[in-house]
Amino acid sequence: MTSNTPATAPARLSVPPRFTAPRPLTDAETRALRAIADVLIPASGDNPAATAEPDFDTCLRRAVDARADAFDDITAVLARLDGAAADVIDQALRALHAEQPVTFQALSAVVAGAWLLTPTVRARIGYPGQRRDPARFDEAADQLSDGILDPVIARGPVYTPDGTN
Amino acid sequence: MTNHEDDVADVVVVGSGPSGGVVAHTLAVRGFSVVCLEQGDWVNPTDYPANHPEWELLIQAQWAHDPNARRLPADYPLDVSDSDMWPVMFNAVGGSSIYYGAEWPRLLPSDFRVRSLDGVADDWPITYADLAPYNDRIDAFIGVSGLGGDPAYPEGLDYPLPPHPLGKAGRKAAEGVNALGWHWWPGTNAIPSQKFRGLSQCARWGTCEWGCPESSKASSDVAFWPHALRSGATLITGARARQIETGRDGSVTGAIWIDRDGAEHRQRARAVVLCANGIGTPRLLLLSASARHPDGLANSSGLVGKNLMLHPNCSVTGFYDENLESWRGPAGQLIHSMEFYDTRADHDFVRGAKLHALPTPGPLNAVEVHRALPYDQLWGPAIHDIARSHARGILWAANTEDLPDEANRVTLDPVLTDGDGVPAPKIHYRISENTRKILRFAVDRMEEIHAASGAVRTFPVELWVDQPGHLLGTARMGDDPATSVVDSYGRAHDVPNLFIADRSVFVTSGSANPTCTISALALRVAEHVAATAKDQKVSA
Repeated sequence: MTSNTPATAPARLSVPPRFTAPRPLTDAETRALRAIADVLIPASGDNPAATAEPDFDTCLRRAVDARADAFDDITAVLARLDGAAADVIDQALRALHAEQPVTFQALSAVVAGAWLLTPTVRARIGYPGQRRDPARFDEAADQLSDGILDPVIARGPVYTPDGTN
Repeated sequence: MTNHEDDVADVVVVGSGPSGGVVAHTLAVRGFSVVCLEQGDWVNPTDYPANHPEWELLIQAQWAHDPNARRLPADYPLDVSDSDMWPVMFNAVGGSSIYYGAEWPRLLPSDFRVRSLDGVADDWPITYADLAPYNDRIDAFIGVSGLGGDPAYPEGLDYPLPPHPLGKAGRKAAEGVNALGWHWWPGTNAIPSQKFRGLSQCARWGTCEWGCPESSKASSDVAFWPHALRSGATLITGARARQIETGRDGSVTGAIWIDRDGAEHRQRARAVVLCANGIGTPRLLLLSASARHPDGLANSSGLVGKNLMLHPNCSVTGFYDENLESWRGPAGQLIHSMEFYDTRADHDFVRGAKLHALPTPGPLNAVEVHRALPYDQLWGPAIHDIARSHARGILWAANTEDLPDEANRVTLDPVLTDGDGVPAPKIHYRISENTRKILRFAVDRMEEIHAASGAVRTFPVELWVDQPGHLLGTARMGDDPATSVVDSYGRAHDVPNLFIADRSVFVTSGSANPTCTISALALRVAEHVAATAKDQKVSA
């Protein structure tokens, strides 16, 4: 298969370039982010912890790319928490939540976003993803056919006349 | 150095959103030479974030609604340091309709007569009945989906396509409204429920407000521009208008625009129609000040940029015990309620709000809604149930009527500029006490609906700070040149061959989503331009 797309495509004015993190996370950063993920999303009942999901690491890289705008803030937190125990991470995250809500939002969105990208989690929570799902031809009529609109129709007009007629 | 285009267009249109698309098509199909200047470029259906599994992360920054967050080359910055809200827009072929929800309610009859009925603001110089035929023709052209007979409107209103299914979420919302005895109706949307012209049947992706991957939402790029281009209109992308030029007699002679490489061009024209939205249009008029028009073009009234209305939004998201399949679109409104649209004697405010129910697509979006909870109720063991709630949500949201106030305005920023060095707009906007009362009232009513529907947890937001996409009123229409900028056909009182066809001309905001009205007004303006073309001339 060949492509005629030039190697240096012109800049697009209204479409952002595909975000990618400025560099891959280091092993230490990945380790810290995984530890954070298991504090924010721990095992509970039948639900595994975030890092126990088979595809979590792949999804984590994708999520870090998608929020590349916050890469510096996130990696700064990771540097501080490298090697920290779970209880230390928990306290640090609570402090971040209270004192740096913008950074906490980005960090937790990356973690939760990665977790929610994993196929096992999607299956568990019943999320099919956004996708084509056109309605049947008569689906709208079916959903109105039991009289759900009858009280509204029975009440009659509710608008304010404008006095021009 | 400015490059001079030799050809004199019959009409230059600035902006390719819904009003620009309607004007360009309407004039081109009648044989006029039309050149449209659009500062952005095309966005393909495959570009949109919904094409990617991580779409919910992508919309948090790079595909944000807020141009100050997105900061794409087509965007210009907004100084919002003196504003209670941050206006949003999208700059591309199709304009902000790229990112609208395609909710398509008409204004109500009372909206055109607010002074007469309520003793506030001003009446429009046209009535509901004047505009209705244009609404009908636009609806027929783009394939609006809805159910006729809505008792919130005068008799006879109908739509070319059947409504979308209510879905489980819509039916649950309707059951609550029925329990309260209030008005509701299946949502009217500019999203074809069946294939229509070049638009696909809605495939219910649910991501309407971040671009439709299916090309089944009537954004201007797909609803109007293919027809305009086939009719002979010329669309120049990457063309940022920086000045409307005038001749010695004060009439307009064309536009100066900057291309994507920074080079200036002059496009001469017999008439200019501005369709650059309620911020871009006054910005351009103010940028076009000259010796003959020292306060900005078309501004002898002093009203250019003033009376900015932003339709402040509020919402209550409710979560339920049962699976409502809340990922499924359109979004788009499932149902709407006009119960509290008009002034009521027992309210402590005038005018009101339009309420609408939408699904809540995406589990990360559900997590984001729950951020209002204390830490331990969202994170840790709680997150597993929060994630499951994504399928059980209903978003009730409201547009509130925003009365005109000259203090709410668009000016030119003395410091901030866009990527071409052109002064950026500065937004001066404060929410009125009347609007705050409506916001609180609307939140209370939406809480009532959720309670009546059986919601187990609700999340009220009394003001969406970063989400007024309805930018209205900054070049209002009227019969009196002392109190308005354009006449009812969008013609500038001061400049006979300058027209405004976008939402700047709204006299009052109503609380209906405005694109339906914008498009009908644009059709009315364009046909008037065509009908009076013999009066236009190119100034020396």
